[in-house]
Amino acid sequence: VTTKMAPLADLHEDHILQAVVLALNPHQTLLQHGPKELVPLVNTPLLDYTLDWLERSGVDETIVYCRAHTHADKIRQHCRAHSDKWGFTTRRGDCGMKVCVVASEDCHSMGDAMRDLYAKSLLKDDFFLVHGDVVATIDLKSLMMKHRERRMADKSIIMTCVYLNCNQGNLGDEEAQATLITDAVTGKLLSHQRPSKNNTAKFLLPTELFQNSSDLKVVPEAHDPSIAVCSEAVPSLFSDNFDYGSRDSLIRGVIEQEELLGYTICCEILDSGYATRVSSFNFYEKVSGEVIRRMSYPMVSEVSLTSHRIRYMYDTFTNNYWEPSAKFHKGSGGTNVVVGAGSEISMTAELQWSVIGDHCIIEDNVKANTAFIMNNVVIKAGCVLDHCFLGDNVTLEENVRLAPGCIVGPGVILGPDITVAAATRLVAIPPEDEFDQHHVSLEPDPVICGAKGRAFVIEPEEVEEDEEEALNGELVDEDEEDEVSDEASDSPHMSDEDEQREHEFKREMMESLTNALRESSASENVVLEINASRHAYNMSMEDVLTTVTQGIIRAGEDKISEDCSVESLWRTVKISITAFKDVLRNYIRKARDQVLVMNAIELLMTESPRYLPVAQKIFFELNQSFEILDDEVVIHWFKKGGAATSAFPSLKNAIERFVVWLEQEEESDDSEEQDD
Amino acid sequence: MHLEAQAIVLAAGPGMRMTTLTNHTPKCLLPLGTLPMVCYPLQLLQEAGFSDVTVVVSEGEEQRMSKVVEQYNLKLNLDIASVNTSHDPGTADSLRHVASKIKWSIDDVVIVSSDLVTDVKLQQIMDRHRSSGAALTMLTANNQPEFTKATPPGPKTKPTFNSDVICTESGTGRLMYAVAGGDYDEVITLHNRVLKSATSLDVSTSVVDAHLYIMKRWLVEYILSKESSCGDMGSLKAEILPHIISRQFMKEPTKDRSDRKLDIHDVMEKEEYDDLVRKYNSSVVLSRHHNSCQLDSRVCYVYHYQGCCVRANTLNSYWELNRRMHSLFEEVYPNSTWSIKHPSADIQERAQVSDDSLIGSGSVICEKTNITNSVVGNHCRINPFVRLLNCVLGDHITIASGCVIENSLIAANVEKKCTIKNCIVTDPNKIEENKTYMNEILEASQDFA
Repeated sequence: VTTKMAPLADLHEDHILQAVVLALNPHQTLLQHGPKELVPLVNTPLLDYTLDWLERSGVDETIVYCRAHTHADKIRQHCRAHSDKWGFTTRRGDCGMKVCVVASEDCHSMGDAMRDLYAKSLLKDDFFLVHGDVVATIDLKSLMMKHRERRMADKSIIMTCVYLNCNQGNLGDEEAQATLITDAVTGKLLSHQRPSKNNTAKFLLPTELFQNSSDLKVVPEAHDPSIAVCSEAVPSLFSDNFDYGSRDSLIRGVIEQEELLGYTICCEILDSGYATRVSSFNFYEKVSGEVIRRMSYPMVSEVSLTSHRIRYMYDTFTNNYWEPSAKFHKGSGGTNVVVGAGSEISMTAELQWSVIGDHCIIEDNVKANTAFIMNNVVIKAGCVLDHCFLGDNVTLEENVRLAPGCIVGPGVILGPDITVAAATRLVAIPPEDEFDQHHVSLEPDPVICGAKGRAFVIEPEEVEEDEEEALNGELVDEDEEDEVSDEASDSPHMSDEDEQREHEFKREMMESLTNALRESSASENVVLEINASRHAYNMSMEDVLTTVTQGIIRAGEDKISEDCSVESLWRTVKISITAFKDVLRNYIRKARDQVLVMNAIELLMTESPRYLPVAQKIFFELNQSFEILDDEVVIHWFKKGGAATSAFPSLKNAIERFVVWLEQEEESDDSEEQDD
Repeated sequence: MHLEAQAIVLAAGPGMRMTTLTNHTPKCLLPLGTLPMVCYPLQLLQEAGFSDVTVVVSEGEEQRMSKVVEQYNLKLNLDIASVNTSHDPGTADSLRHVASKIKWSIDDVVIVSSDLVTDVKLQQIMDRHRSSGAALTMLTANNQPEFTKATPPGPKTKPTFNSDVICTESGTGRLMYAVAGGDYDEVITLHNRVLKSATSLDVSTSVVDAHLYIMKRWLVEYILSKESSCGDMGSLKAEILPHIISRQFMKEPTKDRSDRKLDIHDVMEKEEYDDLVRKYNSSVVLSRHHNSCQLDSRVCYVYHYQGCCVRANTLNSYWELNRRMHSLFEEVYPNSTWSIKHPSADIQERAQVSDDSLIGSGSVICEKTNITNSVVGNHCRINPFVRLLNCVLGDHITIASGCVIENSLIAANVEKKCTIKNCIVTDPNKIEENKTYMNEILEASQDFA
């Protein structure tokens, strides 16, 4: 975006250090307006932390990549201001960092951004890949040196991922944590897992990893700030694999197909340093506290990250920070407080671990603990705030109590004399209900927001419920008491998002199978297509097998009518099974996989009982004709009561004759053997 | 005098991985250099200041063992116990056998295998054991492929065994998990409790358990107690150690003592001032007494030794150790009063013996012989016109005049003139006049046995 760059930089073009900052966050977690990257954290927009860090690390050019909607303009505007401020000041003989904003209409993931940047060939060499909400102080230059050294030694390395060896806890963001297995000598990443929701008590280490490296390093809970040093192979790899969405899918793909692609990923696991993403409200709260506590030194609250000048007064004893124009007495009953320009804080207010923006008014006897207050907020006497977030222009009338976890959107007015329940989300403009399921009142409910208030409650998404628990300090220690309970597996917990993903995946699988049947595609191609979807949706092998089994049976469904005869139904099913037998075979390696196939058939019967009459034929075909199911496995599965769903009794009736016959066959085989 | 530690040498091992050699001689008495193998751990203990050592041998070998000390100038009092090895007892059974000999006034028990050859200083392991407050300290060494993958004489065999897996906490060397090779398949299962106890783990197959352990007395009591889960375990390494290691991460049992097995919590002993020291210690050096450390006295550590540390438990390493003993001896058998090139050997004037050959006591090397890079045991007789190249000879072996022997392990007399290349000889009757033997194992066949 800046064209005024001095030609000096061109001379050193081959040594230009580039960074890509992703500002793709589609969620508006904290504020109703504006991109998340511009939400102030301790009175400085999040993006400034990222940009300042990159500039300090000697990055020459930063590409801020965002989605092209109104947010992009805001980010562009912000960055332009940024460039004007520092873009052309000379530091240590170098030029300042060049910031350009690239936006794209249909960008939904890191993969899309990388593909676009590859197409635009904006990336010339090794570059840093970070998110726009990262607060970090780790030394990027030394990371780049290490990455280049490694690449000199081993050309196959395309990326160095940075992790911190400290457990930050799962604060509402799965992506902030990873379980890593690396080669202790080369640092090569061998396995990368996100914490699973159904908290398994055991960690499985595949021993085949020892074939190539005799010393492994296992980091059970590494903190992942999503910082990576990438080589130019990374964008091209994203372009070659249209199904790679996130960095995780790239990592998974590279590890799984190491032999095919010939690429490897390295890990840099740091024991010290500060780096974290502000990816959830809990992280926002945590990182704010850490910035106030000066853990992110040299990014401390009293120094402006844009001008690098002192902006706030600072009292070491109380750890309070305040703008000189604010009416704030450093001794007035507060510790760890940050107060912005022009704000007035009453002498009798009791504040702790709180951040107050510009031009706010806090009246007498207000109590606030870990409250994040944006600009132009008025809090009248007697209010009590606990672990909450208040947007711009919020007014709290007298004696409003906010229970922990409340997020109050910009412009909301509350009170007087009300108590807001924990983890309530309030907005000033009534939410649009797309589905018209609830009656939406256009007038605020005084029970919720008080007599003078104006606010509407929006339902938090499920993910945020977890946060609320954490806010109340109710995180339970999931440690097992003794070995007995280890055996009992925890009940699987699936979020809406997962369900949605699974649904989409199923639909896509059905489509591919139906098309493949119509075009009678070769099974290798079908397998390729299935695997691509599997990576794209990040499904486990079990899910794939279940979906494939059911899909194969149903692939011809669109050609037959609802009420066709059993014969014509079977004809269709048989054609499909015969066509896809090699596809199914490809996924079956162990006896357990066969059990999954049978479970899938049983599950299908619950969904569409019309297949019940042909169930026996399906089993016969899979067992006798295609030898996909082994005799013993079928018998064992049958005896154990199948998958124990509600459909089993009817399925049992349908296939009992076949299993009994199978058993007899088996027995006669056995006796023959004994005769020998 | 207060004894701080007691040493136990487990020497009843049958030598399952080198059965060709252990038919006649128990493994612990197989010659290594010109000394029986067991001398090496005994010297290690003697160097560390032990004067009494308990040795467990297999039944019938007590006499031979008791002579070893005298014969090889060791200044140790051996307390020899024997176990019946006909039922293939495990190392834990050996230990149980000497339970009554463990003195209850001591602090630590040092358990060492009879086949360990190392130049580690036991005192340093002991110091670490004490300063870390460990219940168990295990000596580990780098897997040395020059020994474990050496090619011994005889027909070529492919060694197919998995390596041990040892998992330690990065930086501290705390032992988190161990599994013996062969006790795992496609996956190794680590419990969450283990993962939560460390921020980073080193999982290695290139590190081996050297079979030298220092244990707190109370831990040995626990292992030997019939009421604990260890009561019916046979192997120290494969069963008991994994059990002890996993107990580090278990919570105190909630059930009443009478309803369950003996738990490690019931026997665990704290040191007298542990709690006080921990409470007031604010040193920046992390140790068990640091006030931010939550470690209790169950902890297990490894002492990793980078130097020479090899077990002569396979034919491969036994062979290679013998071949290299001329250069290793000074380090692995320090301050020795026994000379590995014994002065009492009678080497006749016109015999050629290379510098890197070892000749045992009382051996006679006749004239016109050529001995290169070989080990000749005690009381051997090498007749004239014999050529030995890269050979290892046991004790009391006579080689007939005119033999040419290369790259072979000779544990029986060669009474007829012949040529032997790359063979193991344990039966004198297999040798015929003027024949050439290549890549064979010449042993008494099972029919005669």
